[in-house]
Amino acid sequence: MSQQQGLEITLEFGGGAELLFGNLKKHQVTLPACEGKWTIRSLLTWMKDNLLKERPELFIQGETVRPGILVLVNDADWELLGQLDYEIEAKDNILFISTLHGG
Amino acid sequence: MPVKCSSSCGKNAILKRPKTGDALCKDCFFWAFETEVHNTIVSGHLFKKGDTVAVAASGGKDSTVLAYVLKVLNERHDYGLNLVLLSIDEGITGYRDDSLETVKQNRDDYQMPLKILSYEELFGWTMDAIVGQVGRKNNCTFCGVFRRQALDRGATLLGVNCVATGHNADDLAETVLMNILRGDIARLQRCTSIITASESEGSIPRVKPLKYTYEKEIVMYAYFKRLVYFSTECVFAPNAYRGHARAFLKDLEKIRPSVIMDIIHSGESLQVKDDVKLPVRTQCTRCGSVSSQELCKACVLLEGLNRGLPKLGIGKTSLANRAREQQDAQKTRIVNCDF
Amino acid sequence: MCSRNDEEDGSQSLMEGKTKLTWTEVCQKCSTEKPVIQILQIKHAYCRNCFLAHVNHKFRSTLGKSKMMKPSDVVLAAFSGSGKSNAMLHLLHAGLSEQSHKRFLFKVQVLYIDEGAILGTSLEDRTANLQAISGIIEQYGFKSYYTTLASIFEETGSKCFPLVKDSTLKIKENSEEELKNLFLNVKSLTAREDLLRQLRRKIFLQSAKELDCCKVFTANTSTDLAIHILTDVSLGRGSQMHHDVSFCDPRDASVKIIRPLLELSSKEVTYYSVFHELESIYIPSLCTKASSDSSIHNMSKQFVMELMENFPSTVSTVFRTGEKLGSTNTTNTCETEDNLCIICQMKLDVSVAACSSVQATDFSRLISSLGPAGFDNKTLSQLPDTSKGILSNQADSLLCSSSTSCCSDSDVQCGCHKDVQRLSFPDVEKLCCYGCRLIIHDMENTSSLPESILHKVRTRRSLENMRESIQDFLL
Repeated sequence: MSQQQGLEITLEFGGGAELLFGNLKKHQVTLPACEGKWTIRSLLTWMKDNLLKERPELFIQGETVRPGILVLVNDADWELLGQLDYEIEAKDNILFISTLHGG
Repeated sequence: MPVKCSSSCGKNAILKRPKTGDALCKDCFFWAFETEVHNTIVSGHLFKKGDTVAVAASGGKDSTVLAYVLKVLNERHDYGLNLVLLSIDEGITGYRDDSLETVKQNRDDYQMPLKILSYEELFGWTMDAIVGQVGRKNNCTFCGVFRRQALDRGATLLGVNCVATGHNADDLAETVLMNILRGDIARLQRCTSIITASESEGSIPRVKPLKYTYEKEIVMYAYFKRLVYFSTECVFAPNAYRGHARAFLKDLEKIRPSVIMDIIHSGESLQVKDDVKLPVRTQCTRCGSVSSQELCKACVLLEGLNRGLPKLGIGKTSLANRAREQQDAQKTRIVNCDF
Repeated sequence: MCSRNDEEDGSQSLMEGKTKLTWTEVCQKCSTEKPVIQILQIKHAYCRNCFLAHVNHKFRSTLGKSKMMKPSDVVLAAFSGSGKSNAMLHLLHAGLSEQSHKRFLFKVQVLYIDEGAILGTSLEDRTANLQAISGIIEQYGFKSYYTTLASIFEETGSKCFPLVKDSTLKIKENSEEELKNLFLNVKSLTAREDLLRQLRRKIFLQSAKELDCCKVFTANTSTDLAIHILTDVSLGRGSQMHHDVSFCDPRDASVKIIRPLLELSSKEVTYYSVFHELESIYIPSLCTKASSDSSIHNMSKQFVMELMENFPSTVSTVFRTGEKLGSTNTTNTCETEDNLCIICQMKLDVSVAACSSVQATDFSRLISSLGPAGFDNKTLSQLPDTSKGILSNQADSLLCSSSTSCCSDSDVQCGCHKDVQRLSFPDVEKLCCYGCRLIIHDMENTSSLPESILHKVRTRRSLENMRESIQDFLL
């Protein structure tokens, strides 16, 4: 019987979003083992409670990301993968980029 | 510590004007409000001496205050106008009855003759019946189109020279934003004019004397003058998109109260580029009112209702036309089969 | 009666709600690869390579169909460190490196503007940012320069310095102080952001002229421009909106500001920079971490992004509207200086036409300060014997320009007779367009404006004084 391990993934931030996460662009995290699968939806809740250093309203709105923040999973648009319902797998790379700041 | 009225009349101020931030006492506020409407009327050349003016009365705050102020100014400045109240009954149970009561109250308080016209008598359909056929999604479209025509027809029936509506500055700013969001450049160009030009025969001009009056000030005026009005939202859901624009405008106003006048100024300074094509305005072949198509919107919608094709006039014309053609084809088939 | 829909006629069909897009198995262009990005406007899902080709093609066709680029042109590309401006550099570099006849023939130089002074960023941090920026640009081999926002206060000398690997930030203490003063003087964030935008534009033009460039490229996307449209309308800048959001801003006679990315959305440009693994550095600015209700610009941004969630065609609709609109001011790029706003170079749009919102606002201010006692109801104007007037409190506080040496305390009304040097609010306001007037109204005093602007006010004032004295002799 295999022990349920935590889910190891990489979180990356860009476009200014990193400011809310301690100014660190890349975070290696291990999501705690849980009942059922980790989805982006549950990931966001976890991030809000564990990773967001300040101003949660600038990153999360309701149960999803604030409009203007793009989400890519392994370099693919999350809109093609089911958005909040996408089930996260080990070694996934999830990138959050804010398009809200000027060029 | 009480703040003094900024006009230095010596009295204590009772309110702060959203428009300019000045603090004014009650009397100076009344005077300022009325004088500003007078200024709009005079500088916009809205009326001529001897004109008969129909005040579009809905029982709401805008039309109640409009009727009151027009009456006051008519006497004070000797405009020489004949004022009448014109009200439209859409046939929405519950909602309508209350607002009509207010309008009747206006008639008695201000001593103005009142004429009520209903959708039923003009088009043969009440809003209740329309919603029954169409559902709640596009009902605001029907109501808006019909009301416009109803006012026109009512005005013609009464033989007035122009119709005064209670559109205020907030309405106008909201309309400018809406037209930008929808990409309706033709409307955008027209919406800030204070008099809708009488483009064709028989189209009675409409004026907006309250064009530069803030909604908040209208409410304040009504409150302090103890003018009673009817203030419930229509029971049929309002247009969701316009709700967004409204909320946006209110949020902007909190940041900078002058934004309403600023948006109107922007609207007044915008113009469609020369090389852009705009729809040409002609007359409806069925009822004669202004339209950019062969049949005006109201006639198209009515046809839809009468034929049981509620989508006619809503959404893509091609789909609706196809449905209409199918119906027509069926009818001819039946006729041909008749001995 | 509901007063909401008097103008409607079913044009709701123009606003399509969000349709659920089906997830396709393959890229809709090449039908082979797996799709990685959804582009809403064309309702397609593209694979990586097709997408990158699409962006490149869009960029080239935007530049091409404008027919504005000549082989002798030297372009100054504005670089802010963001992913979007890096994408623009990358696209330019790609176009310049093409082998064949498709190669861009114009030259490109890069400019970075350091704005750290207004945020109080330390000199070390600003220098670190500068070096990081230099590191990014270096990869393309473009000649690059930097300048500071404070250079707007400098009257002589060069303001742009070459940007190389170990550049340190050269600043002039005086100008930095004046810049800080100016921004401290402006009360609301809305006005500050608007002022920053106008100053930035001035710096682009000033730098382009110094470096002999005839065009400036900025990395604004269609999303940015849709937000600008709403912001401009809300700031009373309707008449200049089409200059701010079109492909080319022609207000300056010698330098044109161009937005080559305007046909692409922020999403497309951001994905481009992600797929090409372009480095970016985020440099904080005025609106960083500001809540959405702190300024009109932020409110508009929030509004547009939220609307996109439910009505995805919002940005393109708003943007198309902007393209079709001009101004009732017939704008002519060869306007005489006299008719232009001293801050944004827009033709003055505040002629007080009878029955306009400008007239209405002025009237309201007038009667609120006069009261019924000082006002003549018949002529609708001030009674002749009252000593009050519009902006009376502001007109009274004549403010000395900071460059006069006769007054030690610039806030006190001094009794000096150097009339030419004293500038009041109405003096400055008269020469500003509607939108810039709102910034001026938000300031404590106008003496903190850059000398280049105040100088124009003084000159005009002298000319007017002269004109008044010879009035009787002019035919």
